[in-house]
Amino acid sequence: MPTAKLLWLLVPLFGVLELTAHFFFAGRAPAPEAYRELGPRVAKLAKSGDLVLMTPEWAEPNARYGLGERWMPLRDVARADESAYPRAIEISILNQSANELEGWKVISTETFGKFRLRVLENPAPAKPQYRFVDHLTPDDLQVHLGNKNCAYRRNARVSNGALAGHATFPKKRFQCSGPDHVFIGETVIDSARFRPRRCIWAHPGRAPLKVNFGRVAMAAQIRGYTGLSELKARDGKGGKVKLSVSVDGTLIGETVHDNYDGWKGFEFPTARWAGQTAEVEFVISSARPRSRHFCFQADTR
Amino acid sequence: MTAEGDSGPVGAREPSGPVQLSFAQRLLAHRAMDWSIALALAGGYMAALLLTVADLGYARDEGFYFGAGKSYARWIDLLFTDFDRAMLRSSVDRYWGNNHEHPAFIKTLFALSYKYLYLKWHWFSEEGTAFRFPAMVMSAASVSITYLWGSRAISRTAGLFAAASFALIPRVFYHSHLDCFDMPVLSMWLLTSYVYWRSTVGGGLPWALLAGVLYGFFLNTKHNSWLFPGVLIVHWLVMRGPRVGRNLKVGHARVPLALFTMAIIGPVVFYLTWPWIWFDTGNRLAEYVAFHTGHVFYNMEFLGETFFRPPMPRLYAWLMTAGTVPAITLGLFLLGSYRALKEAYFDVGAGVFARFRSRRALGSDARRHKSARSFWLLCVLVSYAPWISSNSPIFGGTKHWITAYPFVCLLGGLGFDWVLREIRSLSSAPWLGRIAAPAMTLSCLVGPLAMTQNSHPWGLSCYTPLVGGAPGAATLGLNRTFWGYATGSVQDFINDKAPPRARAFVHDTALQSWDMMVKDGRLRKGMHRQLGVAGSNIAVYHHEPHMLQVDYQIWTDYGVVAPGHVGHHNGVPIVWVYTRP
Repeated sequence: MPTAKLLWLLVPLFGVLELTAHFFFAGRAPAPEAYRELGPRVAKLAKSGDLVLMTPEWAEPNARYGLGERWMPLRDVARADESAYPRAIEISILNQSANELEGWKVISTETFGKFRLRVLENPAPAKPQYRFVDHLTPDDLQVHLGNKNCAYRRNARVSNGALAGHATFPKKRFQCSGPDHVFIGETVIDSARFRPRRCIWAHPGRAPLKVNFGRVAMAAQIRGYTGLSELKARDGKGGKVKLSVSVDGTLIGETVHDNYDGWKGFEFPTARWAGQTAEVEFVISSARPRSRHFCFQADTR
Repeated sequence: MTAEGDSGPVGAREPSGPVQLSFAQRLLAHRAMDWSIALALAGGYMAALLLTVADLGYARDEGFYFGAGKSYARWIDLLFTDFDRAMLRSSVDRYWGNNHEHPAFIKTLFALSYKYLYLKWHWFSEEGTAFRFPAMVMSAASVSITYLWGSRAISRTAGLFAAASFALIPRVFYHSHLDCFDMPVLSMWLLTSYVYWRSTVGGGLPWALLAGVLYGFFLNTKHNSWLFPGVLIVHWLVMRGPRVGRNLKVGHARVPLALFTMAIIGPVVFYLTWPWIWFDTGNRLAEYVAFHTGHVFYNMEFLGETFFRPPMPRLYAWLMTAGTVPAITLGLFLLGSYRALKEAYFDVGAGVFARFRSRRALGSDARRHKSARSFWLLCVLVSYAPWISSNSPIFGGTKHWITAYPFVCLLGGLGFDWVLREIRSLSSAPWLGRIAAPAMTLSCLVGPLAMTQNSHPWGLSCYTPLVGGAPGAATLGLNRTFWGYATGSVQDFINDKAPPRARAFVHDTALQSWDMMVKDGRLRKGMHRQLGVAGSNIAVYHHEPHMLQVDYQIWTDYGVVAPGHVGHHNGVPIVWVYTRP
């Protein structure tokens, strides 16, 4: 019998191999309940201000379910980036590592069941002095659409667009005259690649939208991001959105956001005001302000 | 592999010499046995579907077809009580206008099942199951037809393997439950093909007439039927070969009778069984064609990208097939296809691209085999053909080309038969002959069985080991779910945690589908369902990347990011539920 004929036996063997592979892959990722046991482990490793993140990203809902708001609050889950975190607790499965922590120093690694927990240190953490999104109150901020004041409401009607709709219009916001969507308030948009970004909603109106923070602790720069809701930006409707930043009446920079710009960073130097308190004004405008679900995030650092 | 191993065409019947057959052998040889096996397969599959149907939430489109079915049932009532009024245009428009962008045949069956099996005879306690029943029957029938064709054109063992491997494609099992068109159109394609083939291999007029009638119902099931003439014409050309041109020249082109019956009877049946097109026929048919040729593009994730509009990825159909159909089934399909081409078109043992086989060289059995196998290959190719274009939509995932799967499995049966013969020829030891078939069957079906069992009730989230299962597919960025049916998998949590008179945000679940879950007692009564997050106090989220905005709406509206419950498939989150603090 030619030996080559024995190769036919590979076919049924392949069937058995596929069965084995099925059981291997089906049991590889932990169920959501397993994430509940992570809490005490994370508590032992984490310090105040640490970022807890899950990788691969698709497993994050399980981690949020298992760890809850304490370890994965909105401000971390929908962070602008990782630059201001001194340390991160990376929870990973399937031997994955978070791309965003590349270059961070690994302090410790341990495994727990199907999880790997790593503590990583940011080699150069930024120290924000003033996060604008944390100061959206009438004490810190005045908003105008053109020359008209946008009144602060503590209990505005909350709305959200459900499927293919807009981000949540929050209860507390500076509502401008005209359509509901022209306001300044905190929300979360689906930015580039549908990633969540906690930011300041600033849909441009028919006149420039002026956002004036009265007493800002200044540092070497104002750094931030601009974004459009990914789903809405893909409509390709509406024009570019311009964000201008002034400090004490001096224009320090402008950035223009177009449909496919994603979560776009900007940095404007403010060294001459470093260590002082100054007035910072953001002006948002667009020649075609239709369907511009624009949002931005910024801090001084 | 050598030519010595080729003991004749795969699937050729054993020579019928004056051999003494035992009673059992005679019984097994009898066609009645094939029909018994076919019925047993259908019964078994039907039982599996009925036993598992209650675990499966209602998909978005099912909700729309419930409404259409009820509307058509009211017209049927009118037909029996006031025939003249039922025939009026106003009545037809009123009752058949519902969901008129899709043909009526299968929805009429949904209506009849609802009217008789649920309302009148109380066969089902769940209205939704009554609506799903016709498609389940047609799915089970597809398993039987696959077996019958395989056993007739290859061998009984091959037919059994083909039928079982078809039934055990996880996505086929999922779609087989639904009150939708996908499995019915697969069933109609397969049945019409089988009857057409029978008509061309000696079946004569009755089979040809039946093919004509069936093609009418096929046309009235779904627009996949528009592709079918392409199969028939190419098949005819392939089977007649170069003689077609010569025959045409002398005006004697021996066209199969069934082609005429399908061209004539088919459209008549289509017209008669779809009342919507009885009036303003031209415009309504044009509207129907325009709806499907210019169908809106819904979103679909593939390899981490969400595709909103063309150009769609050309790899989509191939990679999704590889990632969702068990690899052993696909491997045997490739072997079977190779064998079919080799036997039918090329000299056995002389290489794939050797000289084309002379038709005269093929005996009548071989011609019959060639006819069936060519037909299967063509059905596979034509079912996939639209996805060669990057303009074809991909939003429905694998169901777009699901009509190819029984033919994939029939060719898989041919591959199975070939491998089995080769393994048996390894030794003349009797024990090998005895155990080869059961061992081979077990080893080739146990994987698909385990995958299918594991896939329920997450049919659209199921991926094979080739892409690392569901976790691997999630890492690759393949779609996790769509259609909002996964609400069925979190119903217990909703029933348990929703406050009295809760306002539930249903996300991608159609309101009609939600309502049916309430009617069937799966979801608690007294909850108000709504399409917006604001004002709700319990919210369901079905994951697709382009839907993530909805997840964030819930976070910011409810003030929490931690879901109260996560429905998952093999650790991959598919659907999650939030409760307002």
